Amino acid sequence: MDTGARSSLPPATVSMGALRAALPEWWPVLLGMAILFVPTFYDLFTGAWVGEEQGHGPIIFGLALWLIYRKWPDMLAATAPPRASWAGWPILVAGLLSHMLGRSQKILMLEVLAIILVMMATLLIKRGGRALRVLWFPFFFMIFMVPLPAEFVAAVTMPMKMAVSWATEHILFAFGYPISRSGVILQIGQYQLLVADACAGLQTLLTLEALGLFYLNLMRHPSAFRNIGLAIFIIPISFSANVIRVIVLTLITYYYGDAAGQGFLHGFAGMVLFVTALILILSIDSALQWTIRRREAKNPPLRAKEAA
Amino acid sequence: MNRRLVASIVLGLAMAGTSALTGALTPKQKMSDAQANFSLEAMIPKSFAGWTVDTSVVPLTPDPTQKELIAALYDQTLSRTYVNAEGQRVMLSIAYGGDQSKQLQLHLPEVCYVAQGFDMVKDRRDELGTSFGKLPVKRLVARQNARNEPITYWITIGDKAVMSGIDQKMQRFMYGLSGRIPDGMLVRVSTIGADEAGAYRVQDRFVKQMLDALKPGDRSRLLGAATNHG
Repeated sequence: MDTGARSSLPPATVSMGALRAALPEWWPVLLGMAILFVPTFYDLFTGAWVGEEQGHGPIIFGLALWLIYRKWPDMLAATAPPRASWAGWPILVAGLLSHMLGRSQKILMLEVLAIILVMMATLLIKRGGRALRVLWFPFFFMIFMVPLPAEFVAAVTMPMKMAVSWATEHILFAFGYPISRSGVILQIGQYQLLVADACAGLQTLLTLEALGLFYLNLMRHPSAFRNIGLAIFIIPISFSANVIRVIVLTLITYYYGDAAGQGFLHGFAGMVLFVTALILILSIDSALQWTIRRREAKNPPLRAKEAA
Repeated sequence: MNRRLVASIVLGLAMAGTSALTGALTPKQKMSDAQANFSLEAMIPKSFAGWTVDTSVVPLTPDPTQKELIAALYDQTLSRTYVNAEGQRVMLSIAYGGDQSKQLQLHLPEVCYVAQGFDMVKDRRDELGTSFGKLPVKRLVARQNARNEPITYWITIGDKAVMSGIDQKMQRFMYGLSGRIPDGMLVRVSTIGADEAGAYRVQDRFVKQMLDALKPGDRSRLLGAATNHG
């Protein structure tokens, strides 16, 4: 479907020479972006992005930039010669307005959204619709760094906290621990634990989902069954990982006391969370692959290379 | 000049222009700076209309993790329990924040109580008639085990008492667009007891008597100057 240009370019390299050649045309855009976004990024890196709640923001932005960089030569090849898309201008206006409103009224969601919109508009205006088709994934991926509205977070966090507390209580009770629960307060032995907002796992879920999608995008596995299956499975995985973290914290408090549960072991429980999630994701992935192989062994596939 | 460079220049100029415009639109003037300093502790009398401070009961205070947040959120907080001759106890909690822009917003009881393990069993809007006009208030009932706690609270943003939620956001936004950073106050009274209707009657009477006992300037601070019709 493409011209031969794609294979003639060395993959994933933007050489210094090409950069210098592009500069005379691109410098006004780069300068404009710097003027527009340097204050935003300064605020993000000294504020929201170093906090716990939006801590995944810089990781996602960095990965998205890397993905764009990696696909840049492909994009250039697919859009030669470039045909500007008029759709870029309204998107630019929307992006600039949301920056203006978001930044002046301190609505972080709009300010971050503006970064994505303005980048998208630039791409459309400079290289056309095809460019966006090649680079759709990094732009979709960046949606994960847009902070959700506080009302939504509050509405979702409470039921999630309840569910995590409920599961923790029932599992530990089944193992014979003296545990009881009222709302989101767990009582084990002489200790009382409050399941905090962070334990609800909304942030964990979003981060894991984003990283899972990134992993799938890198692997480029052709099976839709495996891709969609894994993306859906990440939801119960992140929930289980959260329950395991709360259980670990509860047991640490039960055996070693309050100080241990709130001290460095709290950080340790966070690591338990991510390691558990990683192990669960990898085992589900292997299980899905195994299912695919078995299915294909039963009825030999038409496209034999997929089984490899 | 070719068309592609022109497009680049238009893009760059649009971005730089937006940046300048945003800078001009960003509110810088804090309303709290324009007002005289005040102290909640000194402003609310320790005894009035038969109510006196009871030091034996302490209103719900945030747990340690929330305390840090509260310290960042508010410039002043006041937390007292009043008791009268009939033995009725009312817990009063006032929080004042000089900067209601960005993340530094009032921490609503709906969130605060629930985060500490209370169930919010009731939540409705109401009006509280005072000698100085009607106040838009929220009526809540929080429950944890045997503790049933009816709550009445109101908030002010800038010089206006508003209903929490959308109204509060709108008010903040309107101030923002006019270039001012509003301050905010949250006044909460609550009692512990199973009889809700009775509890609200006691709370309403307490609020009215407290407002009557305040100096006019201090009163408009609690009510928001624009609400003060009296």
